Amino acid sequence: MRRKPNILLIIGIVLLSFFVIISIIGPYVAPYDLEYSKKIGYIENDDGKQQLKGSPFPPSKEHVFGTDKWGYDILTLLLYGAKYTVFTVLIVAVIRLIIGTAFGILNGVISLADQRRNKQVSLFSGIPIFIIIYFIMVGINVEPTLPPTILVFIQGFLMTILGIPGVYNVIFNLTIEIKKNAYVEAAKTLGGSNRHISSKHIYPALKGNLLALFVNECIQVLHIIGQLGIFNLFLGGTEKQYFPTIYLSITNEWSGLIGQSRSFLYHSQWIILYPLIAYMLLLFSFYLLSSGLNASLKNKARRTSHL
Amino acid sequence: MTAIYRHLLNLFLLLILAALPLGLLNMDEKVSIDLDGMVTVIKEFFRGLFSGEAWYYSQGGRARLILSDLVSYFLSSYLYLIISAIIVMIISISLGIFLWKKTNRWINASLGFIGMVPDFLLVLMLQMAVVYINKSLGVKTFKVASSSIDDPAIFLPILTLILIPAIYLVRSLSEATSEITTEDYILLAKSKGLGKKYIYLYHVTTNVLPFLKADLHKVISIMIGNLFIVEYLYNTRGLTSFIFVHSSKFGYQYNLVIICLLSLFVLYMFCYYSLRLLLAAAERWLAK
Repeated sequence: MRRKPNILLIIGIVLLSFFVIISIIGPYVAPYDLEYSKKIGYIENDDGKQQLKGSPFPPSKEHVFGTDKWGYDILTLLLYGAKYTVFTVLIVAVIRLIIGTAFGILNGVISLADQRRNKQVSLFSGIPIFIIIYFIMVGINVEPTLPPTILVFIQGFLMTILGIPGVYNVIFNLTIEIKKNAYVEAAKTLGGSNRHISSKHIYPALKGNLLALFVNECIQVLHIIGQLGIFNLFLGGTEKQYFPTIYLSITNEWSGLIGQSRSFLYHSQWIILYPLIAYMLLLFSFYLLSSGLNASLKNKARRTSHL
Repeated sequence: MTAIYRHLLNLFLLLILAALPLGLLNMDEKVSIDLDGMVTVIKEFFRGLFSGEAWYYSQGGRARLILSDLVSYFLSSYLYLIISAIIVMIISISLGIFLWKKTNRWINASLGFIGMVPDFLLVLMLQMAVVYINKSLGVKTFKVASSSIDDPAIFLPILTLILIPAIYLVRSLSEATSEITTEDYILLAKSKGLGKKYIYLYHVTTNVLPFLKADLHKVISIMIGNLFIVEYLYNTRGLTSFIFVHSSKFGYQYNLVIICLLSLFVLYMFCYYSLRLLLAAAERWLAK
């Protein structure tokens, strides 16, 4: 019998590779230069019926996604900002996973007690990760003196460090679970070292979960970047302008674009709509991947319900 | 003993964390790390605790006692949280345990996606939807944000606080339920001729509740994380908005931030134990 192809997984992979490609070639295929619209933006322009109008311009043939309040082309901004969003998410998730998995397996194999560790309440239980990053970054991220790449690096580093305990806990508990299997016991009796057991018995059994966990971490990182964006800490630096006070994203990273155009909820909605759609689609591709992976993981034998 | 050390270490980290916005700054074209300044701020805070200065915060020109204002902010946050938490529990128990079989793949998939949408996007989309309804139909449905203290937005903040943790909990409980219904004691109960309702109530529910208890910490963590976003974007009164709104209006005040962050922990514990109390009452009622 032919197995049904995992459609969710395939669509997810296609969509994600589309985003990765976009973020690599984005600046080259952008219809306008990043600076270009700036000059035009302040000048009044002809609308359909020869009517003079200032920016923002609604979506049209010239500007497919419209322009923002200062006349920047939104499609161009999105294409330029994509690399910051996509690559930060992927890289942070990978490093979180590698470090968390290494420590999780190591500690899981060494530890003698086979009970799961319960979550302990601490003073930081009520403080979400993005607030911790907020307190650290708020002094250096607004009107930055550091270049954007360094700021992205610092924020990425913080997101990695703060995310490792989560991955570690999951892997640790899974390792303890796998250790209960008879084949691990057998390997131990035959004199297998901890290193042998981790690499030949624990890790292969974990492999399937790792991919699902990776996608999960990607989603979490995307959340954190977005939440910080709502509090005007944009990935790669925030430009602050006075009278009136507005915050602008320096890198045009996607959640930064959402955060900076938050006030356009009630009029000229395309300014926030298109960055929002881009962000949601990226999230959606991760979601498809995770549900596709989960579907392929669930093929294990399962007892039937009695009710 | 180790627990005490752990809490002291955490307190120490929290003190440093709150001092960072004052110590890690952009100064004259470069980043300056002002360790001495941070130490002074922390020292001053402790001195102020005994002299009484640290218990006051300045609001424009005048100084006000923090506790007198904090209580009302705390209560407001607590009410939003606990009301939505109770609704989350009711939804998750009724849907997760009793209806787990009826959810088909598509409902499950779309619920999964909504559960994955970050809180701030949910808020923005709900606000956009309300504005859109108002514009196209001319119907005023819900308040998009609070305009004043006497006129708080209630429906949308609570809806946002409910959605994400409820979906998480429904999925986790239905997973637990489908595990439990395969157990032998369910088969035994069935073979004894007990009714389906009876088995669900006394065999399944009592065994799913421990899973719910184990998940409580995570649920409350998620909800407090959402609370930051909800209070900020809906402009409702509460602890988390107290930190941010006040800092942006009257400058960063170390003692205020520390006391707010500590009361966040109190909020967490309050919510946790309120829910445990409710669950204990429910268990007691079931055992009767």
